[in-house]
Amino acid sequence: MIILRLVLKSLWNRRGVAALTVFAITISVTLFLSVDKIRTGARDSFANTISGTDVIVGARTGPVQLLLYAVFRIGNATNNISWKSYLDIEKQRETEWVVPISLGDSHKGFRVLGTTQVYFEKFRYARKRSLSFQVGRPFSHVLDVVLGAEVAKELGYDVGDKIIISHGLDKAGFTKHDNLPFSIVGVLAATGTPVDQTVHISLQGIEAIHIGWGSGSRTRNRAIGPQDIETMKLQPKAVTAVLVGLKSKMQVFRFQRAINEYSGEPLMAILPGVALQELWTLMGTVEKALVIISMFVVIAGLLGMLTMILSGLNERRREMAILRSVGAMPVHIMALFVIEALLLSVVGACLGVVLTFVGLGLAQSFIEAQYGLYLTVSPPGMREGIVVLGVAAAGAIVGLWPAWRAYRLSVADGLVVRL
Amino acid sequence: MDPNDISKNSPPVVALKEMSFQWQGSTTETLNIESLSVATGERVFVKGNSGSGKTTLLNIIAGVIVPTKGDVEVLGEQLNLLPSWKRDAFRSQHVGIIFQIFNLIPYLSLIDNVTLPCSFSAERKTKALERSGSLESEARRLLEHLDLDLEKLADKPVSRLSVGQQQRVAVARALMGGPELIIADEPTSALDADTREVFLELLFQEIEDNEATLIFVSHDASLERYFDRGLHLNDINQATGELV
Repeated sequence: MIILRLVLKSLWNRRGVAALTVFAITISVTLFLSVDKIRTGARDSFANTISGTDVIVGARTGPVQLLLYAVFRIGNATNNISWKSYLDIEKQRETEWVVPISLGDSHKGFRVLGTTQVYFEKFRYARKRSLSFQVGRPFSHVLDVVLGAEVAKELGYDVGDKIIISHGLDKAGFTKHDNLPFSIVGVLAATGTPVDQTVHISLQGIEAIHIGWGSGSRTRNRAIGPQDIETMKLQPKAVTAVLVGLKSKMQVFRFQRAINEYSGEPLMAILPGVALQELWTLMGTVEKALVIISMFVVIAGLLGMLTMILSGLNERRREMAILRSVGAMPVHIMALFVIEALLLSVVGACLGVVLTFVGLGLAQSFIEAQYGLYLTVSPPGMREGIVVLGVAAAGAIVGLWPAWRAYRLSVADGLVVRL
Repeated sequence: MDPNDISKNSPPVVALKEMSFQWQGSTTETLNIESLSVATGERVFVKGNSGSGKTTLLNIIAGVIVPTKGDVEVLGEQLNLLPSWKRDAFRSQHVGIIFQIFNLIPYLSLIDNVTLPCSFSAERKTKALERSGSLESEARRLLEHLDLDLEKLADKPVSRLSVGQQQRVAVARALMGGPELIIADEPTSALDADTREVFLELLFQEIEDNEATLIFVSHDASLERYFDRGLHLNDINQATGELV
């Protein structure tokens, strides 16, 4: 095929510019595929923020709101669940395990979560992965604290350090529970979930720091110290929400109804999967915007190619006249340009696929460790094939423009180029 | 060689009859030729100044465009009746063309430039193979006949050749695969006087060896004496309109 040979030799002759053009397309396709991978990765990891928990119980509010404060630590609970209700939930026939959650305090902007040791056993994220410790162990003493990975990293804490917990969520922390410093006994491994940004203490710890506190400030002059705690009975009076594991998934709806109809106080039970999906649809716009932006980058890459081909067109009119003189048809001249565009975009797209997989493959463990985002790097398949085909088709279509101009020029010029 | 003798024995290579050409959108004719005939083996000099319609004439004889009226016959084929793709195929098989300047495709090697017509015409390829066994050796044979030192030049980018060398490579390409008709459009205008004479000698030699017919267009009347016959486009072109 003489035209293909001519295209190859011509491109080789312009290899510097051609390589840059291919590079631009490669980068744009890499970006597009990476955004796609990260988007699916983020969606999966979002959907896996919490797993293994069948039902979340909280005071009556909207499902998304309950999910937001119980799982994402965003916003505040309107109401608490009394300790009696908590015990009732635990006593339900269907209940296998319960993890209470008590929110409301913070440490340097990170939320403090009061819970029990069951939390470390039963909390699951990302397809039933359990929490693991980077260093240390779960809390066992009232004044023990376990940090999420990001908290430890950002604040530079290590096991053995002492921290003070602030009352409320104010980052400035004017009102501090500074009478009771907590000591760090463990740091969790990164999960890519809000757990990383959470400071975990026991329910008794929460209770202890609030002894002598009224609504938002100290009411008694006498602040208790660490030595007092040993002798006190620290009975929690309320929790914010309860994560519940059921004996059988079949009982989810019956359990949910039982909670919603609980007579003690108005409670609500949500299924985390359903609520997560509801929340994700809110974020779908961002996801779409990302895809659209990366598509525009691919278009920009192809426009770069168009510029290169068009700018070389005039210089190549003599070449076109020579080819016409040895018998090339105007269609051959058109093919010269379409094939060139096709070739550049196919090579660019294929290199983009390769670069994406090599790049993500290399960065995978780093991304997981840093951001807790698990990306599945599978060998290029259907999806990548479609992207390559799409870019090739778009490239060929883009190439039609210079090809048509070349066709017109070569028909008008005939054998003699009048420049 | 007496052209009238030959024209009696074989059909003309080129015959124009009551032919006129007018560019689309133009109100005046560019070319109007009552009759023009070139016989086999003839070397015809066509003198034409710029604007005399010689470019249009070349495009018509080469089958790139067809006359608005009248007939153009090349090697017995009535080109004005053929569709454009057949005219392209006809040109690739039977016509070799040498331009004034920039005859070579810059990204092809010297040899590839010469063998290019064989990629578009199977007949010329066959002829070249019959003659030398391979396209490259036929190209080398032609280039050596034209006094090009291949040992020095073959691996050079063609843009680095002198203009005289480039024009000789163009002759080799036009002759590759033995087309019957060679059209040269001012091929010597970029050459100095000495090289011009040598070039013409080599060109004539090769045309004769290949038994081809030559139509040579130039504005330089001093070259006319080298040819069998001279035509003055201004005399035979009866187009009345202003010259474009």
